[in-house]
Amino acid sequence: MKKIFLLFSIITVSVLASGCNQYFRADMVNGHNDVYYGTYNRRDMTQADVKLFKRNSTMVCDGIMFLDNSTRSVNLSNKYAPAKMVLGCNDGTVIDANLFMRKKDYNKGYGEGVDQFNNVYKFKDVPKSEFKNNVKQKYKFVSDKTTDNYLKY
Amino acid sequence: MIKYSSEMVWYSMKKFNALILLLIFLSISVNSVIAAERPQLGNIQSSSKLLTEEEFGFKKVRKHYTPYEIAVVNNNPVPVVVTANTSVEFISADGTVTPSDSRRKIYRTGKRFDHSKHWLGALPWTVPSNVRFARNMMIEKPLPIKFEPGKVYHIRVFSPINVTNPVAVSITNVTFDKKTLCDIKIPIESVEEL
Repeated sequence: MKKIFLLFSIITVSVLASGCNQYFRADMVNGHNDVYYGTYNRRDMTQADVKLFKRNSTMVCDGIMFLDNSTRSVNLSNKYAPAKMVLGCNDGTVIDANLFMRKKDYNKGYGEGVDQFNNVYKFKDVPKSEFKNNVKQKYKFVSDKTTDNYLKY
Repeated sequence: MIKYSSEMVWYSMKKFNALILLLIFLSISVNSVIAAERPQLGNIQSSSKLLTEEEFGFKKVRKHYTPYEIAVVNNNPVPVVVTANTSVEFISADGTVTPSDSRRKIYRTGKRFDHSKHWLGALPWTVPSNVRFARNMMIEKPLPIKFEPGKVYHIRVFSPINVTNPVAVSITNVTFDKKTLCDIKIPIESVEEL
């Protein structure tokens, strides 16, 4: 009985402590038909780190997402909370997006974004397998300690 | 046949090294000239004010940063856009330039300890001020990606506490034709205590 309890507690702690990456896809709507794949990892209840890759390209974007959930807790409701995402890319593009994320687990969502040259992007969540099939490069989220990160404002 | 002695090789290497050094110095000087002559964007109307404790009352943020609110109006006929390298810099009276911290770092230093992240038994309502602070930074008055002509933009900036009496705020690396990068310089009015 003691062993079972210990095993159960270890599993619970490991599930709670490990953060899972969530994946999404962005399609450029007007003109170019470019496809982007992105991933984000929740840092706490208010902010998430985001990484976005253009398919068949070296373009990479970094940024943060702010989850505007006033209760701040995972309250098992299927409602969607607004979120704001700003990304800076290595070719100079800045994407500003307004999203809606499901409060329950923040792994489903949708939204629309615009960059400074008036290109429109549509966002939606995708399964991990689609992201893995399209993005081969290794990535690491930008940490708070790096000095040369994007979006220094 | 000419035999190259070690002395000759050394002599030629010396010349070569001198040439490379000369090139490096030249490139550095040219770079510095370009950096110094980065153009200022004209036809910008702006104002700034220091936020009081009633307007911005997050005590932990105020320990590390001084909040300012700036208003910018673009009077050019074309929109001015920011780039991914755009940053905010604070210029003090003696000419030293201090770059602003990133929003990640400001949030990290300004937020209060989140119990629910570290301990299992914490109550969900522990730090609601973190939400208000993050919303204040990210949604209310952020730096826009585009300055449309004739529209007023309110931007909230955080100067590090070690910068005493900044004279101006500059928003660097903005552009209107995708080629030339300019700065927007916004003077800060000195606050006179009565």
